[in-house]
Amino acid sequence: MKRLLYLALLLALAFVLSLSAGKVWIAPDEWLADNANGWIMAELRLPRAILGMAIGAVLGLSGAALQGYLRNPLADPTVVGVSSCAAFGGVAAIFFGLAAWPFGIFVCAMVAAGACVLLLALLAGMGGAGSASAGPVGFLLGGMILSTLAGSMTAFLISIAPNPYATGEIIAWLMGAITDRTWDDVGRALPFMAAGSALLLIIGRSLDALTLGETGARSVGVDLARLRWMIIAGVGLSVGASVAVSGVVGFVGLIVPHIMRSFIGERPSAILLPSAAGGAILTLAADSIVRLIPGPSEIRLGIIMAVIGAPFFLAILLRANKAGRFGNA
Amino acid sequence: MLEAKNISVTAGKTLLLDDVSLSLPAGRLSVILGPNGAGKSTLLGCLAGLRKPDSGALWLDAMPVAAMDHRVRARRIGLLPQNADVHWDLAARDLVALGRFPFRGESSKARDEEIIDAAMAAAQVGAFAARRVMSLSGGERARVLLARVLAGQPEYFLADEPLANLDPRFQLQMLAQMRALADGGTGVILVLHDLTQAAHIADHIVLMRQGRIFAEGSPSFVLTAANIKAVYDVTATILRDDQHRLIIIPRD
Repeated sequence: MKRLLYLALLLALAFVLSLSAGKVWIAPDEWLADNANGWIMAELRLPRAILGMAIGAVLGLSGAALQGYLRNPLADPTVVGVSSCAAFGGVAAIFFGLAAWPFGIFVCAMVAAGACVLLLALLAGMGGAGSASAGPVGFLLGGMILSTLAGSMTAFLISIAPNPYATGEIIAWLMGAITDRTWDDVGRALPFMAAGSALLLIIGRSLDALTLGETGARSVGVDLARLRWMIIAGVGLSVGASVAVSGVVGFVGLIVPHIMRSFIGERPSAILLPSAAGGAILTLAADSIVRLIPGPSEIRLGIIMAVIGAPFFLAILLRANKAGRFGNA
Repeated sequence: MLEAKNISVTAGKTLLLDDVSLSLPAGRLSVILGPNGAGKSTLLGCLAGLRKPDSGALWLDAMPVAAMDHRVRARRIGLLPQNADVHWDLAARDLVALGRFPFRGESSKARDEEIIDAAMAAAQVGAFAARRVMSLSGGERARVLLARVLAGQPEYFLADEPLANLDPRFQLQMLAQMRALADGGTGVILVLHDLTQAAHIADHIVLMRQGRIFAEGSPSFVLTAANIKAVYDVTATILRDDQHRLIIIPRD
């Protein structure tokens, strides 16, 4: 309980940090002022902070839910293909010039994420209940197929892009950022993220039951087919919307659940909300660093996240290995 | 009464269960025996309602199990799976609490806590409540998993090789627990491999061969040298100890 309180405090702090970070310093007494500074706060920094918080939260939550569902601490939203498919949708929108239309990228990315969800459900459920391919293996293989396919189609579009400018635009979008996002972006993404997160939060107890393995979980009354649909739809909606509005931001879904597990314990339902909070904190902090590093243009959020995330993750793995956590599985 | 009526299961072209019919009343301890590949685990999976037979049906007190809601079925039929893995390092008590999963919203928190404590006491793992399951020995973890099933207070208790990987003392404790369940009115169905242990514990033995029931009845009726030869293709020496219990020694 106390740890959750600390997380909430940290989240509040990260949110304020994100509001304060930027090219110009705006004193807190001007945040609500009726001038240019007040406008910057209300129209640029506030939507950006809210979006950063929401994206981080759904990535952390999806990572925790997927790791619980697959009983694999190396799973994250990118391994099930949703991120790559949504990214392909966004790239296709830019390629075909739909990015100029206000909803262009968002709609294309969400449609691609939706298609990914349906295909994944089909691939993962193909063997039928009781067969090996219906379990985590089928799910991961399905995700890998979709992820690879979407990745190569994205590369294909980049390779045939009509001019260097389009190529640059596509690559910059792919790297992930929440620079200059508006309230419109917030309004588009949040409903999908909220719906997806709700699906992921209500399956917490079923994820706990999967600690007993699939046979054990089914014996206490978990409907695995229904659970699979809920997790695929939940990740598809929330991560799809996150990629649609920000591009691909990696590592959050992978590392945050690990950090939470080491503080809170391994019960899958117990780390869902903390992982959402942790993901939000990490993303807000990274997005603040992006703006504080001096230079002509901002470093992309996705890059900063990988630069912070990779060594951090390595440290966690080394510590876990020392504790014998992976050695004697 | 848990009943299988003419159930058959195929996997690809292999017939795993061939027209099996079986009645398992409450309060009886039944043991399913048979060589590897005889269909014991498949039968247990069907009885647990987790595997749908290709033909035939399962009935629980004259209700078709296939038509029951997952959670309703789970409240009545408990299963201790074979070599149960534990995928996350939960506290032992949190693992046992998963046995209350089918009762979410139907049972009060206080009542759940009481039942969980009682189940842990019955399986003699009360002392481990706060311990992480990965830090327990194999025998301790097996008893925690037993407590998980007990916490569901099922009317039918099914276990697939519950004695595997247990030392002799834990095996006896586990069997005593099963006996106590059956004496308390629970229908207990176990898959075992050891013929002598089966003979000691069982009220009723179901001997399987190649997906069919070869013989069933009381231990001394079923476990004859002729039946053992026919099913396992081994010669058995059958002795009686000083309390007139069967001792079965298989040899080539």
